[in-house]
Amino acid sequence: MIVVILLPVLSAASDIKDIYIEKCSWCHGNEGKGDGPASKFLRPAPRDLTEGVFKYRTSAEEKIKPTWDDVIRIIEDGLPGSAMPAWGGELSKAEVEEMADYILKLGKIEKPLPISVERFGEVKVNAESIERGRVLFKERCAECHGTFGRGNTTKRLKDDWGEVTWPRNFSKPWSFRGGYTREYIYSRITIGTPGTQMPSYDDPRNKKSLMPEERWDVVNYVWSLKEPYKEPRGRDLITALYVDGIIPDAFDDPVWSSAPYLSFYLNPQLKRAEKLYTPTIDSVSVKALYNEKVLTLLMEWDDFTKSVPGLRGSDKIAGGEHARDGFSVQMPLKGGGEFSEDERVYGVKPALEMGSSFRGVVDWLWRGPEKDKRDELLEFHAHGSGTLKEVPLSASVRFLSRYRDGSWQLMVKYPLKGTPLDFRSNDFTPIAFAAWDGSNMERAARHSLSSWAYLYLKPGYSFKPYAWGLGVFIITIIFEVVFIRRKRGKP
Amino acid sequence: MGAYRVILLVTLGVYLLLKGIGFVYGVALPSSVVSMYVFFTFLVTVLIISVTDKGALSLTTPIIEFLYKEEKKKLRKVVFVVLPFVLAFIAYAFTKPSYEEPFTLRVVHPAPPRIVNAYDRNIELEKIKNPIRELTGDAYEEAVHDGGEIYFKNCFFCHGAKLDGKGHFAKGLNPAPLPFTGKDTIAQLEESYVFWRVVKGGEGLPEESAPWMSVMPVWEESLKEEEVWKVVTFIYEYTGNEPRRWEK
Ligand code: HEC
Ligand code: HEC
Ligand code: HEC
Repeated sequence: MIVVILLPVLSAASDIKDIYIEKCSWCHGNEGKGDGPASKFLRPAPRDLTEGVFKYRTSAEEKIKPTWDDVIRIIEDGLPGSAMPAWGGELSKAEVEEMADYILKLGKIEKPLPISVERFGEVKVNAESIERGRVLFKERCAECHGTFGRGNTTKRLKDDWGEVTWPRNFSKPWSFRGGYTREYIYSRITIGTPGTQMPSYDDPRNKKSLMPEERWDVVNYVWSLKEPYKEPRGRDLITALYVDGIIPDAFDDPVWSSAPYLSFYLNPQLKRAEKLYTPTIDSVSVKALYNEKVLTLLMEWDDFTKSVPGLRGSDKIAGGEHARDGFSVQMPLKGGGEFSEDERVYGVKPALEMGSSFRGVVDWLWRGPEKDKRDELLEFHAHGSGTLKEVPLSASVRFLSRYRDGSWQLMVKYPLKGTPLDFRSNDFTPIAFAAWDGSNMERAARHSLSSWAYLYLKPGYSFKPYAWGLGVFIITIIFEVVFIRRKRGKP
Repeated sequence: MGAYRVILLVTLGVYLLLKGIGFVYGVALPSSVVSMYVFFTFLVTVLIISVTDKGALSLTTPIIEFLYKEEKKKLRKVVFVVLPFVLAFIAYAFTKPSYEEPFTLRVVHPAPPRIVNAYDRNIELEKIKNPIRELTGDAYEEAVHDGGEIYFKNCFFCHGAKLDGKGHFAKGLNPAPLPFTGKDTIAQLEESYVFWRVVKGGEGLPEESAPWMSVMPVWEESLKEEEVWKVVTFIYEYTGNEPRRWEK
């Protein structure tokens, strides 16, 4: 048995194996087999380091060895978008180097290590190159990554260890494992991602292979696919703008271009039983408009799959039986307690998900389509866990949805009056979101969700403040004139 | 020193102090609170100065001089031109529909209850001790290692594989999971307090800590009492922290 020494006092001076046991073994296992206690809860799973496979290496030639810089980078910066943490601040430079040696030894990889893949014929980012890249991408990459690179694959993908993998979503730059640089993307296309179905495009025998210049064109197209508004920035105030007139039932109506998206992270539900450890939906972007009568929310979230249980294509990607997609918007129920003026304006944030006995929540749950069944919107009320009950949908709440190129869009229209909440101009309403990916067998409590945010109905244009300003301006001038005249009159 | 300079300095001092508090604690005080305090400071300073005749005079003289003295003519002209604009803007700013994001002051470490009902009994927090600390040698090490396994099956998603509060599912959580590293975290807490926080989770917090928001699970539901003590011991050992003790 290995004696585990956890005292950090010792670790500073002790040898690298102790640091490995202390920091890495929880995921990668004591012997590096990728079987630590945490491994069952992670997808992608922690690597079996004894196999010596480096998915995110950028090395040329010698197909299996990483470069020295790769190993250092992986340890120092971690692998963004996975559970592999960055150890840069935690371990000293010397410890990182020792660790790199230790990891190579575990993988039975002998030095010398190869150098980085050579990047010939760089083509700078420009419109023509992006256009050429788009055409190549459609032919070579779209079947897995989707036309706009949102990872909406047309087939079920598995890695060499039998686990389901999802292609990278190029509209979310922060999810790139090796960092978001054009050089890194070039290396990835050239080498592929070992251990996964992401192929190499360097092999001349491969009918689909790409010349270096073509690879750069594809890199530039991939580079153009980022959608920075999707990255949550920590702000939590959704501003609904006032529209004078109707808000059409159309996603592409120009009226929406005036409203900016605000994005939120969605985290898996880990609070109560039926936890979700390996979510596939990680963010949602929201915008809102309102007019005299209705408040309209437009939500957009990326989902690799349109899950329609019973439909063959959908079953195939999901690997068999699966659930419907879903999305929910949650707000507090008023009533069931006295509300002060402040609470009326600002709302009170109830316990997330189920509320509590004194502060309930209303949930508008959208359930995606099923074979021979349209999508639908349901309304639930809850006052604490175990009290969720369906109620008839509040009059004239309507919705509209569509799935396109890896994104769901959902528009929900709430009358300002007539739902359990009254929406008023200049009020704040707590709001939270949850999402279900049916192909990932997410149903009931297994879903991802946001924290509470606020929805603010920003008052439309009003003449009043300008009238006040003008009035005060004129009165001040009158006073001044009167004063000056009186003073002139005096000696 | 002129009366106006005193007023200006005092008001400015209070303003900076209030802003400074926000800066030190990382959350800015809402501007409505700041402006209220600044306004009252101004008012009170003016009142105090005008209590004596001399003080009152020192307040009015500069105004009279400004309005009537020949030497102040240039300044007067400038002020008379600028004043209507300034006042008009203030009127506009006051009547414009304002919106300030709701502000919630949260107590992260509220006073714990005296008695916690958990595991089907009433536990007096002051009295309980961590049973793991009674173990020695290999038995202790093994218990801590068990605690590590519990941590890496239940907690690291949020509190992080480095125990720094930055788990891979902690992004965007509000309130954020708390870190255990550093000398200003669990080192400041008694072990029984940490035990209570783990057992009762976010929902067990009193009202002033906005229980409605934290996603910290109620671990009483899925971990045994001994397991909670093991994981608590682990987070102290891993970070090299000592629980706070009240020596008598
Ligand atoms: C919280 C769990 C966790 C901890 C702790 C952890 N890792 Fe990882 N590690 C992972 C996961 C998950 C992956 C696979 C990510 C992927 O495939 O996208 C990984 C992958 C790796 C890889 C393979 C990279 C590649 O290109 O294939 C190396 C090397 C590695 N980790 C080293 C370490 C070292 C060294 C430590 C300790 C200092 C460590 N890990 C600690 C979760 C962890
Ligand atoms: C057979 C399916 C398939 C095809 C075809 C494919 N990819 Fe991939 N790709 C994947 C998968 C799966 C991953 C995720 C692998 C992983 O890291 O787990 C991936 C990952 C990537 C990444 C990963 C970046 C990172 O975070 O490391 C890039 C870049 C990429 N692909 C670009 C392309 C380009 C460009 C093409 C076409 C020239 C392409 N892929 C074709 C399946 C595919
Ligand atoms: C779903 C995310 C999540 C998980 C899983 C989780 N926590 Fe927490 N934890 C939190 C959050 C968020 C807070 C902050 C609560 C607050 O400020 O009210 C917290 C607070 C704490 C605190 C209070 C620290 C302090 O300084 O007061 C302790 C102790 C703690 N967690 C221990 C644990 C342990 C032990 C586990 C595993 C058994 C665990 N947590 C699992 C999210 C989580």
